[in-house]
Parts: sequence; C-alpha cells; structure tokens
Amino acid sequence: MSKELLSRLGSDDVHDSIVCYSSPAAIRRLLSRRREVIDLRAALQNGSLTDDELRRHVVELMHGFRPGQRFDGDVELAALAVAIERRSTDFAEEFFHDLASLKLRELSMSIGIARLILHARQDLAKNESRVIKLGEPAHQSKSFSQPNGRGRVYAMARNAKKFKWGAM
Amino acid sequence: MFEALKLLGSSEKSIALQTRVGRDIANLIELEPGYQQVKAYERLLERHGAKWRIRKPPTGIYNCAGHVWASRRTSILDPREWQKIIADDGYRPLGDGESPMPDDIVAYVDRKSAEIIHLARIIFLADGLAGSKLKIPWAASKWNSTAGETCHSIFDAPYDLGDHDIRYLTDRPL
Repeated sequence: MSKELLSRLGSDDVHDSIVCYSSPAAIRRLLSRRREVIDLRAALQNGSLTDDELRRHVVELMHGFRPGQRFDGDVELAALAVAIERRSTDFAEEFFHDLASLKLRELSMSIGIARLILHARQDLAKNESRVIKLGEPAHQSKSFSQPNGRGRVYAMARNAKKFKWGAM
Repeated sequence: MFEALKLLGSSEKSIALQTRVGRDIANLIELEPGYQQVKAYERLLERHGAKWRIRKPPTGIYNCAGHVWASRRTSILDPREWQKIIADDGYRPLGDGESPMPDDIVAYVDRKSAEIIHLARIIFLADGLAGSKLKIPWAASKWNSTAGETCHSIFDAPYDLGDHDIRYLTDRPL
C-alpha cells in the first residue's frame, strides 16, 4: 500500500498536470492539490506510512540518478517534497536541507521546490512562539496552533529532558 | 540521503543576465529533456495541440521567460525575476482599446495568486470570425524548460481560462 502511494507520485497523471509550468512556486501549488500528494500526506498523518519508508524510497529512487542526464525521478521527488512540506520531523528537516543545498541541474525542479519550501519553513519558524510553563509535569505538556493558524505554540515542562517537535 | 550527490559538486550553469538598469537576473541553463519529459510533452500535444503548429521539438536550455527575454539561451524560472524585467525594461500592460501587435508579450496569470504562470511572444494576428474586424493573436510558446515550441491562438492554451487571465505586455510607448 505504502509502496503504491509513493510510486503514484511519479505517475503520468502527475507529470501531465505540471507539463505547462516552469516556476517552482506554480508547480508547488499544483502538486499540493494533487490527490496523490493529499493521500500521501494522510498516510503519514495516520501512521500507515513512516519516515523510514520514505527514506528507503528516496534512497532507492536516487539509484536512477545519472550525472549529465535529466533525472527521471525529479517530479516524484518534487511531489514528495510538497507532501511533507509541513512535516516537522528529523527526516523532513534532513530532506529539505540536503536537497535544497544541491546544485544539480539534473534535478532542477525538485531542488527549486525544496529551496522554496525550506525558505517558507524558516519563515514559519521565525513566527513560532514557545510557552514554557515551569513546574508542570512533562506528560501535561502540549502544543497548539496560534489563533491565526500560523506556527504553533508549544508548552514545555521544566523537567522534560527531551523535547520533540510535534508533527504538523 | 543525498550524500553521494553532494560529492558531485555543482552542475548548475547560468549566464550573465541583467535588466536594462543592471539588476542581475537569476537563471539556469536546463538540461535536455529525458524520457519522462518527452512523453509528457507528447501527451500534451495529443490533448491540447490539435490546432497548434509545431515549431520545434522538445528541447532543454530555456523556458518561456528565457524564450521571451533571453533569446533562448537560458531559463528564468522565478516569477519574481520576471517582475524585475517587466519593471526595469519598460514593459507596460496594454490599455483598454489598445490592440496587441506582433512582438508584444502575452501573459497567462493565475487569478488566485495573481502570479504570471506563462509568457509567450505574439507572432501574428489572424483573421477573426467572418465579418468581424477583431483579430486573433497567435503566439509562439515554450511551455516549460523541456518542452518544444508551438505556435497557437492565445485562446488555445492548456490553462483553464476560468482560473486564468490573459494579459498583454508591451514595450511600445503610450
């Protein structure tokens, strides 16, 4: 099931939906409305797909990379980037930082979209507030969205040793 | 995840490109299309291209903005760069009652985001319906940085014209 969800990101339908566009912003917008991307996002949220599976898939996909040739998995990688753009996990952080830092025209589309998303995530992080409640047990810690829907407010107990960002 | 690719260094290539007032324009000389891109372009022609005239088969290097503003030498991918060129190079929208002319630019604009999503150069004005004095502009389009070039009526484009506006840009004085 997860394999199928991931392979759908590189389907002809997805390629066809962006064939008349070249700006990363427009492609990101179009991909975010695709059923394939929405389904993948849902699978990640409900836990039927994990970051480890995504990582394995990306590693496998990149085996098709050939220097000097346009990468056939570029659209699939771009769609994956859009699917996880609001995800705050170690995998997503690594994915966006690593992909955005590449300077390879073999995968110019996915790199362009990763740079755009990374920029947006950094802007969002600047807008983030943290509320630290001293003396509250760790299990009562919680996170919640700001009223304007941008960013999140995290409540963190003083005795919480390891703080993890919640999946957004 | 991308460790091996990092070792390759940079394969990005660009050229010195500036607006008339000397602002740099970010650009990228794109690679030739691969199998997936050629197939997607062929499907585009099947779906939308019945009345198009093919000028050039799929090619890399330039996109629509690179076609219009960089003489097919490179791709200008970021619409913010497009806006820099429009501002610095003296383009203006056509006013009401003004007709487009060959070598003006047609811009397809996403109505929700107000972003230009495609640019093409007008190449000629075709006769309209019988008895009508209105001419129909035809444009030469490079649909993306791996597509071919086609000539088409500006109304015969693969965008939903319910969601997109057609606007004209010209460098002609008022």
